[in-house]
Amino acid sequence: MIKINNISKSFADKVILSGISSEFDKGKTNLIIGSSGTGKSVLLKCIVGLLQPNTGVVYYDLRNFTEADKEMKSEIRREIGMLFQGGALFDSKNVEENVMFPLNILTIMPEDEKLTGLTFV
Amino acid sequence: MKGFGKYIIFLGSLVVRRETFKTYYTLTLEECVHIGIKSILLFMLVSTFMGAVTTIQTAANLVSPFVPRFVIAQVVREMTILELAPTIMAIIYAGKVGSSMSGGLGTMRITEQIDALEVMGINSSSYLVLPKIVASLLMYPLLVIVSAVCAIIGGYMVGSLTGSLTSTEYIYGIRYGFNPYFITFALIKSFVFAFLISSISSFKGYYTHGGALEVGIASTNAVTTSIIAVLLADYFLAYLLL
Repeated sequence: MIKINNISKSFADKVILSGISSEFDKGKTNLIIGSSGTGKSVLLKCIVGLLQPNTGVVYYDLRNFTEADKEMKSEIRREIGMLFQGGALFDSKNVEENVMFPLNILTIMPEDEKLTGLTFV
Repeated sequence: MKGFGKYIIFLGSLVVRRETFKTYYTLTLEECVHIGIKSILLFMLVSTFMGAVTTIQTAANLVSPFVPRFVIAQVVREMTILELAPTIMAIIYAGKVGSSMSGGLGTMRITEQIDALEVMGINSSSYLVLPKIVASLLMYPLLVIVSAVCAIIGGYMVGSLTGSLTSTEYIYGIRYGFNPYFITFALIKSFVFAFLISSISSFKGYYTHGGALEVGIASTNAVTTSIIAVLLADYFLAYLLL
């Protein structure tokens, strides 16, 4: 479960998020809907830690993500998958290498047991 | 000062939360090919002409009958080893490799590829930048050695072809009063310049904000800042080590 509590974020004088609280239960599909420029992407970036909120806390299964150290954040992030608006694919790699990238980097697996990206696709 | 502080923090971030050695090994080899092998031809071409021009210009200026002709080769040698090979090549290196590093990282930043790495729990600065710096430290000194050799050969060819000095005079001048410490000094300089160019260019690219226009601006900034840093470092190294 992901829980956000009183998240606020502003850039200079412009307030983007103010006191947002919510819970995202495991197994449910949650939607964040709003018109352009209302802060949906900023909220998501605060949830995954790409932006640091000015106030408020994000919890992943009761683990305080916002105040976690870099090691802990790194560990929690390895459980997160995020699809970016623009794809954010590594354009220097082909499709198979893009699919295999997190597997090659984040998993310890013998070469003979490593599945090919095409199998996943 | 704020920018310098951010640069130091950036350098610190390269050595924390690292990936496996195998990951860095592969990436570093790829960077070595990209940075080193693909730059050799340009370095050889520029260096050969640089040595040739230095020989012609020195010969044109040393017209006194009291100065032996082999002194031309001696001047070419000292200029090449001390300044032309490490420093002038560093400016070319900043233009070719530094702008490429900065542009590549800047594009990755604006297309959210760096954010994607961070979301996966990968230290993006370490993963992307450390191999570039290590590859630069490995390849740039080699490029400087190739450059020095080519410049001396260029001088030899032009000296012989134009009749400014004979081959015997040139080879005698190259060997006369040779101080091996100058090679050490040139290599120290090349390590320092390689580090400065690769780290500054990566820093500028990594913190790019905005769009395509800003990537171009970041690349230009990377080259100009790197060149200024190289020239300052050149002065201090000469002052401290010679």
